[in-house]
Amino acid sequence: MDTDSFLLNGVGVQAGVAYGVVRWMAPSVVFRDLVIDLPEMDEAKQLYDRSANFVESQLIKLAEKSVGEPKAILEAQVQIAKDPALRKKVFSYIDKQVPLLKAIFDSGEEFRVLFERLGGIYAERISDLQDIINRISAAIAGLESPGLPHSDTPYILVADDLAPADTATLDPKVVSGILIAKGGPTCHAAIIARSLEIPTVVAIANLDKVRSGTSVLIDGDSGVVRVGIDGVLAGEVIAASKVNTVSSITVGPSKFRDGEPFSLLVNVGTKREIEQVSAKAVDGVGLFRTEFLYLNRTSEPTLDEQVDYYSMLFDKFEGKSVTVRTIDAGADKPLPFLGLERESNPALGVRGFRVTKSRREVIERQLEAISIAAKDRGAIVSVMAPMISTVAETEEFVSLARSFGLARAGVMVEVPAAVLCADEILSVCDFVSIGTNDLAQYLFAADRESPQLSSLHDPWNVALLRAVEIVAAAGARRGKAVSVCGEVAADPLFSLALIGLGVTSLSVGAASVGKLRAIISRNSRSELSGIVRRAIAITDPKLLNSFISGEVVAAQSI
Amino acid sequence: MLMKTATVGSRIGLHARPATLLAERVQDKGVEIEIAKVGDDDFVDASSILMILSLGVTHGDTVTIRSSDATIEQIEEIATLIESDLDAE
Repeated sequence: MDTDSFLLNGVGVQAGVAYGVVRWMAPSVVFRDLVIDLPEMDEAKQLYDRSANFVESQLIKLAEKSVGEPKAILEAQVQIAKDPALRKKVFSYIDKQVPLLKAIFDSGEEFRVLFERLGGIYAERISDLQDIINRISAAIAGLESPGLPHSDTPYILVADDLAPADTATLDPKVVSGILIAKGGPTCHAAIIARSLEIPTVVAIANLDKVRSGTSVLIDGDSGVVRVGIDGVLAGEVIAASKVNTVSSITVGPSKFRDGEPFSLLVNVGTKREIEQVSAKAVDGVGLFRTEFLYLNRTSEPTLDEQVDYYSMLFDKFEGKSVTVRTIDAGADKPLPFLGLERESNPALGVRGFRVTKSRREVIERQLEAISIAAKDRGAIVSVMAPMISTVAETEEFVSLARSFGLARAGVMVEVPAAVLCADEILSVCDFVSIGTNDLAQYLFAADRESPQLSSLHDPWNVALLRAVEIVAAAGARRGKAVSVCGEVAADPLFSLALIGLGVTSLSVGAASVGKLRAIISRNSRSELSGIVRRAIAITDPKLLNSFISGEVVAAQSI
Repeated sequence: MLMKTATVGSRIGLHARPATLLAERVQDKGVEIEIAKVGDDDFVDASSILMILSLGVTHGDTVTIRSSDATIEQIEEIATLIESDLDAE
């Protein structure tokens, strides 16, 4: 294994796979500290006005060339460039003998603090403001405005954050993918990426480890970024993803070869996913990730906001099952408004349902919103809690859910302790869903983000399959549903192994549904169960994989 | 001093496009118009998008519009603008 290759995880905001060479956006100059000769007082004020006018006319031109949401953002920025309150602030600093660039910087800071306090969608406007501050300062200093890397050959754009004016000139023929360290589903990069249909991942921790010139493969659906991957392997992944798009249109309930139905569900989270998913193409939603509602916010979304968000999905899935996972914040997904303390070992800390220990009201409000949204709507709504370790936690969640009138409540199985008590856990809740990524991380004690430990992340390590088997067997004994909603379920071969282990439903990204439906239709549950029963004696991951691929029907031809 | 209250009709509140449109319209009038959240007497310049944003006004909030040099018609026009669903336009 090449030690220079590793995985990063973020939030996929525009689906699609892209492979290419990384180019970082040039870091913008810190204009506050730039030492140049500057005029004072009246002349400084005139220079500010001239520069602000210049930026305003620049942005008007960009806005004229844009349409839809990007246009609206640029028009808002035009207003910021000519904002009378900003101008007044800058002028009052100039009156106090503050050097012009510092005056502009400090004025911007005052608004930044205001917006940060407001949080949510207001905090997301900070980058618009910051960009204007930078552009006016650049104009004053006689520098070019910060912008995209110049290149004639396609590249993957990597940046801490992107300003709308940067993205306005973004050419999808040159920029084949976008990676952003900050941001959330409604940040500009996300909005622009959607309008240009460029595969994009945002909110990526440790993105600074990726150097310009490195090859990366990004998956805008799962949010996985493979860094330092070689072209051959990337080609295979891309070819596989093309197969997805070709066969993912199939409509109708999923069935085995012998006609036995199998419940094939979809994972959704972002507003866009909700908008784009076709209720006809799937049997329901197996995992509704609700973190997107909370990401990038400094204050909790209001009850109404939450109700609106859930209603949007419940309306769409009338008559079908929708499983909502309560907020899964923690190690990789810190949420500022929760005000959780920093931990030295966040993966083992306060995350998922454990948040109730300090912020119970957040989960209560979420359950209330789900309950209100579910009322009078046709979707069959279930709720489930992430990061459950004990029977007592399961009981606590189930009774909390019931107290809000939510009849169906289950838990995620991600912690090995929950695997070992699956029988008892299933006796007090209605269903379980296995989160394979976290389960593998905790089962093998291997950090998901550690590049050196990638062999331990191989899902074909038999211990993971045996853990799934234990849970599925408990479900069968109790007559309760056991689903898998992790990313590995989207791998056709692995999905067949999971079904063979006794899993009753799979929930995957929308792009994988068609492919899975096709492969399931060529197999039968009893055959799969026989194949897998023999396979789980094999401890070598590669051998296990090739044994299963040799036995199941037509996996390779899909 | 003329005053009028208006309930915010835009779904996302006075944010993004609605805030832009409001600031533009006030600038077009060429008069000083201020707005504040009802109950919260911090009046801000309604021709400034940054100040409008800083109010953090959400859908259904009521705002007070006031001006010492605008006409009744101008105030009415701004109130109507605030009350309409600017997102939908």
